[in-house]
Amino acid sequence: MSDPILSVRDLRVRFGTKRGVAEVVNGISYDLHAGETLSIVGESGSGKSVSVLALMRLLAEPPAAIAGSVLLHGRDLLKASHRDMRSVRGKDLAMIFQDPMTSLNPVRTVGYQLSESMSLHLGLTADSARRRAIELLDMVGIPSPDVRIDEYPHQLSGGMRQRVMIAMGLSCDPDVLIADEPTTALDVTTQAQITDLVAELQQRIGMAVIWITHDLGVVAGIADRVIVMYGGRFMEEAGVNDLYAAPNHPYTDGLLGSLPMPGADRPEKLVTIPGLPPDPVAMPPGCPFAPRCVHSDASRCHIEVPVFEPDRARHLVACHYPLQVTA
Amino acid sequence: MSEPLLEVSDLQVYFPVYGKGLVPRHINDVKAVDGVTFQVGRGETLGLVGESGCGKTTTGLAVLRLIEPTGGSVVFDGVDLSTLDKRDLRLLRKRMALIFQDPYASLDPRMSIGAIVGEPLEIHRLTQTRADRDDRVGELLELVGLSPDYRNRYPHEFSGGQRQRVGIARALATEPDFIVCDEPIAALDVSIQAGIMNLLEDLQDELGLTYIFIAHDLSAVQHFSDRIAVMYLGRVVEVADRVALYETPQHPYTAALLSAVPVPNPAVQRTRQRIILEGDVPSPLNPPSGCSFHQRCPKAFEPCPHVDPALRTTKRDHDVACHLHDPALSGAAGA
Amino acid sequence: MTVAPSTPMERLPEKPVSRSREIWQTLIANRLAVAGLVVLALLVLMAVLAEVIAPFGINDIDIPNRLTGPSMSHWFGTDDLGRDVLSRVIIASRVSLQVGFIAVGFALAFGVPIGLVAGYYRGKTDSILMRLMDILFSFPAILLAIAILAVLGPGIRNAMVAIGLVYTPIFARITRGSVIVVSEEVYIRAARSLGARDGRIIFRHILPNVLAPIIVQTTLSLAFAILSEAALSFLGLGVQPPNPAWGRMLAEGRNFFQQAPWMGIFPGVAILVTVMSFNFVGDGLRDALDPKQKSVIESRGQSV
Repeated sequence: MSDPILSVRDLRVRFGTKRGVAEVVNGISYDLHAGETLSIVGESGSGKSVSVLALMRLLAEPPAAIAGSVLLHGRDLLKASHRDMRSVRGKDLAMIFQDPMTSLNPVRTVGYQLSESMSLHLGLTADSARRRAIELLDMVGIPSPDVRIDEYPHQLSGGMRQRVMIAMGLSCDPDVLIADEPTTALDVTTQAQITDLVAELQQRIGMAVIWITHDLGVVAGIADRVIVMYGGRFMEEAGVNDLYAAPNHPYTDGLLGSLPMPGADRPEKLVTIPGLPPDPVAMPPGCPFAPRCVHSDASRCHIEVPVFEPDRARHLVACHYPLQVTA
Repeated sequence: MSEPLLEVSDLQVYFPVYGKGLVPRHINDVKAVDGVTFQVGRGETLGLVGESGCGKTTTGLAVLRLIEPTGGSVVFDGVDLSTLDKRDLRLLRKRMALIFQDPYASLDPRMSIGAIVGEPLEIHRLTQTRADRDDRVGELLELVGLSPDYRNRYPHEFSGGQRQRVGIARALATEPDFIVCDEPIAALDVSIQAGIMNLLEDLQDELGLTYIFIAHDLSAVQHFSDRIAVMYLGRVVEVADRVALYETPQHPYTAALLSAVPVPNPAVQRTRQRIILEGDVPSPLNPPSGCSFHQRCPKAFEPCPHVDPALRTTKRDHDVACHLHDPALSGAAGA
Repeated sequence: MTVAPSTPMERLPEKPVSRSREIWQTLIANRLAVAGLVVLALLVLMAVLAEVIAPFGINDIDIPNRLTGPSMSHWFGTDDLGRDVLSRVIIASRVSLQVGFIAVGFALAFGVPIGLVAGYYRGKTDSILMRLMDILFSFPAILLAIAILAVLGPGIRNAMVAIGLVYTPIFARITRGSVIVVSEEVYIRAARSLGARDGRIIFRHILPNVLAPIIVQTTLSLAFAILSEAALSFLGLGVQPPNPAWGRMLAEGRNFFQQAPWMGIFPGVAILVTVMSFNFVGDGLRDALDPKQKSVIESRGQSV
């Protein structure tokens, strides 16, 4: 495999709160290669969104404290100046968010917002930026883009707004597109449109995508590789087919079991995971999932933090008692 | 379907739109619910599914007369709700309950859990003494899997799933026979959703409850319901048994909705035939002529833009509002 | 630890700091608010014990010692009739606080119910009530109070009514605005779905949730009411002589400002200190009660 575009090593994010230090991301490492789609799956509070906001340097410091390294083309973003970061954002790394209404400026036209970053990063003139903006809107499937370009965000539907966000994300041909729950606020039929659009654009442009979501259904359709995150740590990392066919971590297994599957037969009961996610201010020692895990034991799981075993290169699991032993 | 507990016919909820000016003029209506008809059998769960803006929540609230319907009738256990005055309606509220989507917003932040769950008992004078009420509140909390010791705690101390359990305990306090569940799991984390669904199922078995389960998540609805009504732009476009709806959807919108639901199985999700709809749901202010789905429908044919299809029974317990399934027209479609 | 999945008895996080305690802690962390609270406590104590504390009677006329400056026997000096300024300032505090509390109480008693009814029922009721309030509100406060006193006649009781009437629309507006917001909350619909009557919804659910802005406004209005009373008394429309009031003493002191500045300065300082203390407490309360100041993470509890 080629060199990764993005290498995250031992990334940690803490927040100072009134109740104490919240350990939200606790040492995560991964590589992202050109053209691949990596999905980070987790529930609210797992640290998935914070981890990408940290690597984009979009968290206010303080209260956040970020440690580790994020290498983009070999350069450490965590050591970059604010000025350098501004040129990286939008140009090398682009991000789209869950709520396209609040991430668009309500008092500026779609065209203005689209051309803004292009004139900033690419030095385009007003005319050529506008022409490129219309092209981009067309590319993301917005009908009559030459009309829509002069409209304001509130005149567009939720799906259209997310398309505009994607167009903005793509405007400077980024190497990596980070999508933070981009379809969570959308209806399923619109969600299907957006996931298809991103997949198609990715084929065409060849960018890598990090897709943050809680929806294991969406992941099954788009990801090449999946990381399951819980309590600020990675629980399991595998190719999408391996993960669904043979989940090795009890948490992944529980999540998959708790989903109602569409179909004629229904299980008597859905599998439930007892208990609650850990409090980031009072992280349990040992495995963060141990207090809710039916397989955990007091002598190991509650004391010793399990880590990915490096020799199992294709299917990594951070568990002392993984469910299945695959090669 | 068993003997119906609830019969809704031609239900309409219009929200008036006023013009600007000193004396605002009534210029139009948002037809949030526009002629909805369905029945719910005793002890049954009817799923009400559709995308945002289809009118499913408004339907649920209008059925309980928490929003005044513009037209149509709702008959609950033989009583037409529109004929009741304020007092009788309030008495009937004992038998009907509502569970909300957002467990953060639906509990009064200034009231303790005990006061919240005990409030319906107080309103309907179901317990005589303070001690009786405390006992009953404790029972209800236990019923939903919470410790009775929590009665002096406040909502902000609880997680989303726990709050939803408090909301369920409150709904059960008056021993209702009918509950509208309005997206009860949509705001919860995946690992918490299953617990709430199982709880609602257990309670139904134990207490013989009748549910309307409103959700946008077709997988959850399909898991939870006996029959499912699919709504689009204020109308019911298809009603069927949960298996029939999944295996032989008749309305093109149902088919598209089913195909858009992501299946958590890459082998299935990547190979199945999907119908991607074009465009967005039209505005309920100016719904299209004829069938409101015709502009997006991959199978639209000659009558669709002109004639509004009525909901008709095509098979046993399977109703659909689509010209494709009208024997008088289907020949022309070649379908 | 394993829990049988059929009875998911979820653990509850340890009991967090209660809301009222948190408000108190935020309030006492604010130095100005604490200073305000201390001064107000002393003022109230002084007003209650005024007759005991005051070294002289308020109308002990002592012509030979008229217009003498501050000294050991008369800390604040004496006025044109030789009366002890300190004693008069102390006794006058009673009037000021009394007028403040009763006038604001009047405004609360009318304004809050009007706001509750207008905000809850909306529609015609709302339009009629609020247009009435707008009419009251459209006059400059002190002019309106003067006009009311012109009709009712001068005197302390009428001054209280006038000030109360002037402040009623403020409370009606603040209450109505909050009621409209809270009425949209899902828990109000929940109460309705349980069959709760309007009265119960208004008093059990809405009122407790709109109290915070009303409390803040009450504190701030106390300051303005005291100021209004001083102004009215200054104009001779409030407390009638020979009874002392800060505003009236200020007016009398004006004539002797060259010879005996203490006659005006001390009552003036009393007004200043009182009004500022109420303002400090009001500002502190606003900061402590305003939930928007809390970060999203904290207000959502344990789910980060």
